[in-house]
Amino acid sequence: MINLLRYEIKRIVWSKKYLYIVLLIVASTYDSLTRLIIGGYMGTAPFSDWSYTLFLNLISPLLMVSMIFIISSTFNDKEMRARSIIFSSPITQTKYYILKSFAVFVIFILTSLVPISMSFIYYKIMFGYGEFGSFIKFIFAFLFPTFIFLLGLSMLLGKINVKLIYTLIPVVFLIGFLNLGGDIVPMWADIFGNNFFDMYSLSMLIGREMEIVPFKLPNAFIYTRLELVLLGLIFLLYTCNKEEKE
Amino acid sequence: MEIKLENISKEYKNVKALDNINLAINSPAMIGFVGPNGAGKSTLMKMLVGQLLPTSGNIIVDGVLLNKNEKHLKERLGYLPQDFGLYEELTVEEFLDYMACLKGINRSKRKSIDRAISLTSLEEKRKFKIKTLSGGQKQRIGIAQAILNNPELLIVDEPTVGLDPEERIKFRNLFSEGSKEKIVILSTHIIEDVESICNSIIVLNKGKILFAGEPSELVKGALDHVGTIEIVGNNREEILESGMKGEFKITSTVITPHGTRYRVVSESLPSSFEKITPSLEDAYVYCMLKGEVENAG
Repeated sequence: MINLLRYEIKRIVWSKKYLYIVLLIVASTYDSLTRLIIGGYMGTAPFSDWSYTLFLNLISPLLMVSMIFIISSTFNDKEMRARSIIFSSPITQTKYYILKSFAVFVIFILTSLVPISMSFIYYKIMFGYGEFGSFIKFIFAFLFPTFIFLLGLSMLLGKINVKLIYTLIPVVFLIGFLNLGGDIVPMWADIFGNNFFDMYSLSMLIGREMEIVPFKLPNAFIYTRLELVLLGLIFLLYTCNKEEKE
Repeated sequence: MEIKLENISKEYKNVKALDNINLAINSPAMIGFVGPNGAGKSTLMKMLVGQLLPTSGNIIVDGVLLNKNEKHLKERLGYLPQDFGLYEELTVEEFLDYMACLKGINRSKRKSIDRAISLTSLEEKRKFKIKTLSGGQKQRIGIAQAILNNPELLIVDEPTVGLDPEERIKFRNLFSEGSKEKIVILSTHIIEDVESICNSIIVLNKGKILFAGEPSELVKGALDHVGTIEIVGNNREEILESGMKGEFKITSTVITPHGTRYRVVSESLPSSFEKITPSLEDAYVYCMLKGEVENAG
């Protein structure tokens, strides 16, 4: 299985498509750091918990859309034609989808490391700041639940019809980039955690009594993230186990 | 290995792709599936490899229902579909290594890959990315992955498409040698391929088996139904018209110094035709013609 995973990852990483994705993420990260994060969020330092979670929130849409685009290759014509050979081997459909999902998961980690490393280098060079350990929990809270949910959803939609994945790409892009707040994007569809900034932080800032705005991830936010993980895993389980023979 | 097909039917939106197929295959066997496009050959093959489910009927492999024993079959299977894709970003060697992992070849994996590469004459291309290879070379990779695990059951659908005549002969012989102790099922439009290697032939049309048996039996059935006639000059209209009406089928047309010589297959050969010994191709055409007449009846 390790060998198969190695080949799956190689197939994705050693492609022009992936190179362009990485270049786009590098450009977008550079823009976010130098134009938006450098000023800090709501008067906090650029390397504060507030600013870093905002940074994760800013890079998230492009990262997730890229991953959905990569997932779409599991269901494109080329892969479908290869399946006629692959499914003549003893690999089960469940193992096949687990293999594909795990490969995308590894690619997600590798790709996420690009903006994360860039941010760490930026903080070190610009501000001499090096205490990155505190950021790890935010990376898990902001990036992973969104990814797991979208991985499960994309796999499920792809299995129904690959065109549904292509439809999902602009939808996710819009939800992520149009930081519209709770009035337009309801809480249940807030897969990127935009409401956390739009509502929670605003109320904290208005009613604050201290100079330093305390940073705390509210329980409601954490539950929403856990729900996304759970939903994503349910979608994945369903995709892996649903028989698709004619 | 023993494969039994019992009353297999497959329907797609009220169209019968296979209609009550009954068949028993025991190793060793080298079987040729022949029939026109849409006859049901590929559907039958996909069912045999467990990629399609029958609408009704059972496929039994070594005494156990296929849907309850798919792993048993797939561990012993080599399959080359008619239309297939490869992971073109990988090299030939990497793709075969990938397939070897899928097929669960652990011991002597390197040996198996080398053997498959050598049998398909891909030595020079082993380090090349698949996307840089020609259609014929990709077809050879398809064959290489099918024989990688030295399968007990080898099913190849139109395996010689895109290959040059020399390669075609080479692969025909490869399949034939493999059938000494296993089952090889070959689907093709090229009767010559079947004639030279198969000890059993199955003629399919419109989802039904028209003939199943030895090629010599098929030929025997066409005796007295194949003939030739030479038309002197340009009086070809009459014969072409009869051909159009379906009275007989013209299997070859040769321009001679005096006119045109036609080779025809007919249910009842007109007396003006000179009877000749049928070839397997003639016999196949006769079988199809007879099927059409019976259906019309």
